[in-house]
Amino acid sequence: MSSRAPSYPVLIGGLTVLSILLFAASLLIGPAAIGFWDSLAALIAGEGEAATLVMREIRLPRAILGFMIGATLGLSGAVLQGLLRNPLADPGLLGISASASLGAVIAIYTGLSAAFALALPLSALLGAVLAVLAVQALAGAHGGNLTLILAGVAVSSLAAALTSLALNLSPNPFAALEIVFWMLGSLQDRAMTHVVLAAPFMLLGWAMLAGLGRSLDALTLGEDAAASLGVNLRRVRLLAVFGTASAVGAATSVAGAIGFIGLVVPHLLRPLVGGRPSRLLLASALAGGAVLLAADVATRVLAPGRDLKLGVLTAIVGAPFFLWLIYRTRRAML
Amino acid sequence: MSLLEARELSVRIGSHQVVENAQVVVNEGEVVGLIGPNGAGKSSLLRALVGLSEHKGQVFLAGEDAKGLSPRMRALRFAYLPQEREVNWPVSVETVVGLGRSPHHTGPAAMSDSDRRAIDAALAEMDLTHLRERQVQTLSGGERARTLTARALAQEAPLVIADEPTAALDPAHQIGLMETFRRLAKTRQGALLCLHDLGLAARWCDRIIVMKKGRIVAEGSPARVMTAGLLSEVYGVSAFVDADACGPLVLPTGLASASAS
Repeated sequence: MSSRAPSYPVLIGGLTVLSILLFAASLLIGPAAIGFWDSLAALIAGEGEAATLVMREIRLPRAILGFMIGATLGLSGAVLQGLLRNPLADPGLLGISASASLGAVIAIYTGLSAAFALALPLSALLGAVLAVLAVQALAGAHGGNLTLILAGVAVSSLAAALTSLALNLSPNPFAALEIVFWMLGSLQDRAMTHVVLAAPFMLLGWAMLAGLGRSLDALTLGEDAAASLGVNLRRVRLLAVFGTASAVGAATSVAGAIGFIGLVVPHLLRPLVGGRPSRLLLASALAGGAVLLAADVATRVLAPGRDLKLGVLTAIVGAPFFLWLIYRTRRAML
Repeated sequence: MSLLEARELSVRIGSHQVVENAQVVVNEGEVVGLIGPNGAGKSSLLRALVGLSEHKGQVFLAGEDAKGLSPRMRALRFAYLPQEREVNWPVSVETVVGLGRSPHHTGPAAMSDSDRRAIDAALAEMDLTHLRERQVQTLSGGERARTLTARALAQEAPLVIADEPTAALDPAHQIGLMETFRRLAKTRQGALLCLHDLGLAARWCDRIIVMKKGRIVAEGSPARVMTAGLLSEVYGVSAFVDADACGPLVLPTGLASASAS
């Protein structure tokens, strides 16, 4: 029952084409009604007119961020599931997203974000950095998976508590509303400066995660067998933790916490790659990018003018899927 | 030459001294059986030998200090089969066996012809060729155990260190596996096997190491070591011990009476 899946090159090719189509859709669909050819012309050759501005300053950064953030979530979800050998692991597990959110919330709370625009993502990145250092220190250099998860849970809870505190003490209802809206997760009104800020960290994270495939394959047989096959577990764990922190921290810092993609995408693709963790990495990155682009386009199509938040949409679609996942896992265990 | 030599090996887990001052040698062309009751420290000794646990003392692989070898270099000198038969994802038998080839590559290189030959040979050796496409999670316990053993064989290391490799196998596959190790020994490879089946250990091993309470209490050829007296003392069982043309026969027959121990 293993050879019913498409071959790996076909799968990757298909996901690449899908990503490109959705990237184009993200560029072409929006509140400003610009025709297909007009928008392309405006994007590539235009100068100064409104359409060019819309394409280059609003839709292009949004599409780039959409794909990169989705790819980050898919890739890091696949890596963490492989590392922890648990299909329910997701990028939020290490406390990175919660801490990045806290950083952003502090920037809004203190008014820093109003004073200068990049204060919010920078503060969120700082939150992610502090979180990963805390998690790594708590888990210890030789710490196993369990201590890593427990440290992540502890840091997550603390960050969530401090976020609640900021809401609780928020100086005025507008700040509280802004905090809540930011935490819902969105790609609206992100500019090229956001891309320039977040992309290097995401690329750095991808570089750290992309090379882990063979080690994660060996981990299929458990840690002892993997170590005896020449895998340096400590190095793999460090790369996975810091790679996830860099990429997911940057993603959260510009878009807020977007759930379920990192959890669901690797799980969906696993049967299509014959269960091999190494093949899941690129596939999950591409599919994660495609899913996030699709979700972002959906927020614009489903409720134009209502500003439906991306994180809300992924959670509304993702949570029932998660329930189904649990149901299926339970049935498989019976 | 010795494939493996451990000197004064000691392992502590918490406040328990689980292995104390063990000396172990496995030479080329030798199948060595490690026996002893539950909790004697056999698995802890194996884990220390393969570098998975903190330990005191030295381990040499083909004459070189194991501490100076990278994980990959170690993986080229021995294959280790842990006691836990863990396979996490819905992967095929062939994929699992192919993982044994990973120490032979440094980058994400495609499979070479020698990889394919090693995988095919290991599958055939473990009688798995007809199951190669099957998902491991759909296999029986014995078939899964054979798949993981085939992974260790596909590694083509000079030494195989296996923790209870015959557990869960039917008699035909148990004997087939022991014959495989004997064949490896003929080509100057070696094996160190932790075994609970005393009959298999007596009949197929060149040398037996007996552990009790963290210490090696006896060592030598099966005929010399596996006496009724020693089995009664170490395991607390009475045993029928005899020999036929092919080698020693050991069959535990009952619990030793209190006076005999």
